[in-house]
Amino acid sequence: MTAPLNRRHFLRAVGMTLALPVLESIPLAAATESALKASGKAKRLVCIGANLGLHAPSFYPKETGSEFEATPLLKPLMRHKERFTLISGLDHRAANGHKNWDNFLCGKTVGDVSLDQVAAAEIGKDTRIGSLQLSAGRNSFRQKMVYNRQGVPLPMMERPSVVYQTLFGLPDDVDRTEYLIKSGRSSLDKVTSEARHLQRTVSLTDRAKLDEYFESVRDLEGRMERQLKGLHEPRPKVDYQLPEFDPIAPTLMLENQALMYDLMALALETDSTRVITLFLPGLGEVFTINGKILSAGYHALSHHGNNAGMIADLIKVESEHMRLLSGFLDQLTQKTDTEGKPLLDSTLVLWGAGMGDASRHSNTNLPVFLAGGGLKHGSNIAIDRNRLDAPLLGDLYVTMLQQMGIEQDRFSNANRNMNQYLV
Amino acid sequence: MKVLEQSRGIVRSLASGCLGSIFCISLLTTNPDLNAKIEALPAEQYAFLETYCLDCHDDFERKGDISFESTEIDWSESESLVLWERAIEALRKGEMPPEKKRQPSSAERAQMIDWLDGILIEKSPIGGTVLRRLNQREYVNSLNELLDIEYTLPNGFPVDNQAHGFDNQGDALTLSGPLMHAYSNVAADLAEKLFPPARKPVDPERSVLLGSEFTYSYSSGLQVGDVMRVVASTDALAHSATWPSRFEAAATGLYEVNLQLAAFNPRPSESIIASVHAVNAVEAPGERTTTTRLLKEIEIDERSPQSRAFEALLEKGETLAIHYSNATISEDRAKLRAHVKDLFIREPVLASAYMQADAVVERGRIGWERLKRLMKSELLPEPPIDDALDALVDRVVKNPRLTTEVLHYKHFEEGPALEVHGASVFGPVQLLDGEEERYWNGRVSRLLGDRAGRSDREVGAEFLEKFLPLAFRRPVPDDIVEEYIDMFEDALESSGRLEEGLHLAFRTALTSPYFLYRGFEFGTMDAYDLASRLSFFLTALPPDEKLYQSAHDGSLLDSVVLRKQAERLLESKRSSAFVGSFLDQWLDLAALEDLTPDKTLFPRPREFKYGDAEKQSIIAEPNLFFAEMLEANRPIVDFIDPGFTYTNYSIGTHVYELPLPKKGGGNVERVEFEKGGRFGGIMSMAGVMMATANGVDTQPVVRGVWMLENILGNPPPEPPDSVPALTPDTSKAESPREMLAAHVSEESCAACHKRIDPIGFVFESFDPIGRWRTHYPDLSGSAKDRTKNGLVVESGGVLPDGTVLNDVRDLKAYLLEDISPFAECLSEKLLTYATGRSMNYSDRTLIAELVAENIESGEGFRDLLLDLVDSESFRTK
Repeated sequence: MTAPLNRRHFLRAVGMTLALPVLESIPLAAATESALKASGKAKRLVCIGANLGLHAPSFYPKETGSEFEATPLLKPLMRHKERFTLISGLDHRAANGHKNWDNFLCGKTVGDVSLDQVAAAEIGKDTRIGSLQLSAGRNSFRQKMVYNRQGVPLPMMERPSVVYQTLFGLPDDVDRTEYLIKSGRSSLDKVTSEARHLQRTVSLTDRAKLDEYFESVRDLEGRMERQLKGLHEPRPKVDYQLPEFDPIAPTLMLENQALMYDLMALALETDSTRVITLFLPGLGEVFTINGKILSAGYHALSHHGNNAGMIADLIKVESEHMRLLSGFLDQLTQKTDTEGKPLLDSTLVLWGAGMGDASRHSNTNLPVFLAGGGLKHGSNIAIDRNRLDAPLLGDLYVTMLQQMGIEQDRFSNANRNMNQYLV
Repeated sequence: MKVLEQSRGIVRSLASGCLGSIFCISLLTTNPDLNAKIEALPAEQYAFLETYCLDCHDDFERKGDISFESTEIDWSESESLVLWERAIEALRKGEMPPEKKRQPSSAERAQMIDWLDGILIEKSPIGGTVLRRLNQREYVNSLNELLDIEYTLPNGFPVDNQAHGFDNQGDALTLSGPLMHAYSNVAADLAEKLFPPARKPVDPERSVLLGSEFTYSYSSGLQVGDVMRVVASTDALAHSATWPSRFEAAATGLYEVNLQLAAFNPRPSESIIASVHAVNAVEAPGERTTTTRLLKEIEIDERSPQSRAFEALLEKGETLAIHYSNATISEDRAKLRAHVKDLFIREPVLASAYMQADAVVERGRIGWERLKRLMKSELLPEPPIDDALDALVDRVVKNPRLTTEVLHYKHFEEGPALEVHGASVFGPVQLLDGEEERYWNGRVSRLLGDRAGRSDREVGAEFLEKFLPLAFRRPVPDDIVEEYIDMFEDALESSGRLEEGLHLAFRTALTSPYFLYRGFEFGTMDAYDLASRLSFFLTALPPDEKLYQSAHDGSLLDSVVLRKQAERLLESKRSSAFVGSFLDQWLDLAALEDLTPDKTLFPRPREFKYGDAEKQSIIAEPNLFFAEMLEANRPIVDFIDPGFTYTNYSIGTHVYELPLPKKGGGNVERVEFEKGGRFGGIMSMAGVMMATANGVDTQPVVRGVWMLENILGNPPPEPPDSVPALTPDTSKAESPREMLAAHVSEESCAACHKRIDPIGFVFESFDPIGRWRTHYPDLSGSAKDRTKNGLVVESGGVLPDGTVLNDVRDLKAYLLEDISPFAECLSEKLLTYATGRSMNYSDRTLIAELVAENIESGEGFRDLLLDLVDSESFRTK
């Protein structure tokens, strides 16, 4: 009764990136230099999306404005009170349901280019890694968070060891990779000569068509050149010890999240990248928190149906998210940029979700936590979404983009901004 | 072969004589370009324009944005062809000059038509497909065909552009840096799989794992003290199994496994059976016992931990999932029902507690804690018996996942449970080929043939000699083969391994322009290009051996052979790709995959639901219908009013109102009904009605334009920018017809909307999934139920030629009276798809002749398709 291995597993080309580095490289020195030249007050962007959102009544304070009390979920964050803003009542005016979670960074329509990729096109072009997509453990099978301009969802790295390797290590098998790139170039020489030969025999229109081939080959040669350079470029040295084993088992997702935050802080500190997204999965894992095993799986807890016991356990998980986020903000205040200023001053950190109430799968009133980036912080802003002129989440994204020096006055279905609250 | 009778001056038969001539340097290096010219209009024709047309169509008036004032025509502009083709159509149909204006005599009209026909034919020579890159479908099919594999492209592989409604059009299939990169990566990926580098040694390691270092997902397991307990036999691992959180195989090979297991309160006189499965450590939560490899089954009776050792083959990245395979609790509803009933009989107080909780408690431990509290309470109802017991069980197992997640906690506490106390794994003690390596090794053996008695050098060279012509779909001259062999030999020499030698040559061939492009000749195609065109048209695959052979011996150029080959491909299974992908694009059926109709459109209680079976029926229907049209060579009129279709019970009953006998299962079957009704035929097929709506409401203009474009072959020009599409907001007492009335009163809109609207309104009788309706839904009512009748649907209208249409039956009758516009439209779509270029005036003239002959001689659809394949349009690049 041995079941055959599902062929799809390996026929789908998943192993491809093993051999060839997908990342292209530019020298570190040049990167640092252009960081100084960047025009926006914020130079980095971190977007964190939690699959199951937050229990809003335990998150948002009753008081609005700057005088607000700690709520159960805000407790771990209160030491950063002056560094963040809470906003309620924002969303993308999209339909409810699991699938629309994915529009968190896209705006109204799932698959439109996400906020981080818009930013990466500008502020990510001078770093070794344009943008880094992470998931704190196994992502759910459906959810996506980051979409490029072509509407293709970008894969997320789930293993801390792979993230570390990407940032600070050399490829597993430098020799093999180098061979593949170098032999790839001689392969291109051969096919170029074939195309030249062909060019002499085809019609005038087809000759123009073949020009596309030559251009594509030249473009690919450039890519290979950069890959080869990147292969041997020294990686930043960091003093960080990963555990021996990747916490990818379902019950270890909070450990995974903690490692991801450490690696993210290191990535920003070494200026390896300036745009990072982190997805926080919410599957059925039953967590053990402070030595106590919770009463049900995380996902089951999120469907609490207002049962007090389940909400209590749900808040234990969500408090861990907040505690880890607070730890990340600690690191960004302690670590400094090239000018000696805290990284957080020039790093926008957005924590949110594409779902406002996981218990009902509603996609309105999304949780929004925004820190750093040189914006005016310290308030709890309550937006009345029934107001005719109520801002949309996309309006906040416009403000964030502008803070990064990206002159864009609309995002998806939003064409205003939230500067009056934050700038 | 059918050649356009009037065609003249077209360079033909350039390629005959030299097989594989793209590899020879052709002496004729310029394509005779007949269009680059500005020509004066002859005086006689200009006089006609001045007298009958310029009143409205001069530079000042520009009615319909058309002016004929210029005395010369720039034929290098493609718009000139469009403009003058519209002119000849209007003259032929008598649409212009308008009734109220001065009319030319029939002789004058005929003379103008003759002149225009001649000049249009001259200025639009048949042919001109640009070099065609394989599109994504053709590319991956080619790889799979060449290598006999079932490869799927990686996510994010660049998507093709479309043109003229299809994804295989030469001018839209551009090549870019990222796409070239993707081609190069796929080639390297396949080379790494087929010709992998030598395996590196891996030192064996020992992992010692405690019970507490096992993980679980959902409520599949629970750590109690230092041991992990599992209690369920559900096949989804996420809901039943546990596996080490800190071990995964470093390499594929043999591992020595030692498990410490115990039985906690097993059922009397029954051992606990622990099944051990190999499962990918990352994918584990999504896997099932039924799809993972069973490594070992272990029987356990003892309360104290027992060591059980065995050897297991683990693939790289795999770990060991442990499952209590004979546990009676399972998410499987039948098993769960038996389990719960048994519990309720043995522990009536549990049944009472569930009754008290109204059969539902919170998920997980909280629910179980509540049941325990209830069981201690003194006010419990009497435990149910007989029917009441069964009714309670039914309610408790209504949500199996919820109930198992609660009852697991009972068994975690009380048993029966399988306990994992720890494990030790040592390995790999021997490296082995995994399933994946074995698969690719098998492929390579087939590609390279028997290696016995041949040197590596011979094996490689012979492989390339055989592989290159297949990959390039034509014979490859010796010097080019030689270059590949040199490449192979260099790498062989430096590495000493056959695999390493072939790696680079193989990768190179898969990024060669000869592989990625097709249609290198110009004018009439040579036999190899023709074979490729025929094969990709009818099978989306490169030519098979028989077709290649007939190209090789040149016989394919012969009409009889070409038709025979086409028939052979149509009859083979390979043609299903043609039917599927052509229909997806012609009828926009691809949209159905993601379209879910608004369920509030269906009356409650919902006898009809739109689920997977309904979707599959709706997608299968046009495919099976089209396949029968082809296979049975049915007359073209059957596309419009066939008296049969393919459907399942649900769609047949609730959409097509057919009196079908209720049958189990949702099988799609052929059904017959009377001709001349509301349903039947391609136009009102549920799939087409759905694809032309959006799942929620319908728009007459959208369907009208769609019908003109895809059925009547008379597409209206692009609408002016200032006019938004009509969204009927029927909640106000304003009907779509009233809202559209503006179009017909506005003169600039009227010209097109006179054609669009009457057809669009006919289809207002079909709701967004194609059900017949007499009323629009009442949107002012409950948002949860849109089945109440709102406004009355008015489907009537008058076509520009005065034909009165009351509903779709009249439209069908109108089309049946003269089937040629539909037949020509379908033919044009087929040839566009086949040739990768848009059809021009000459092509259309040729098509009209073929269609006329087809109708006259009472032939069928397959005859027409073969005539198209054997036409000058198909045979010309």
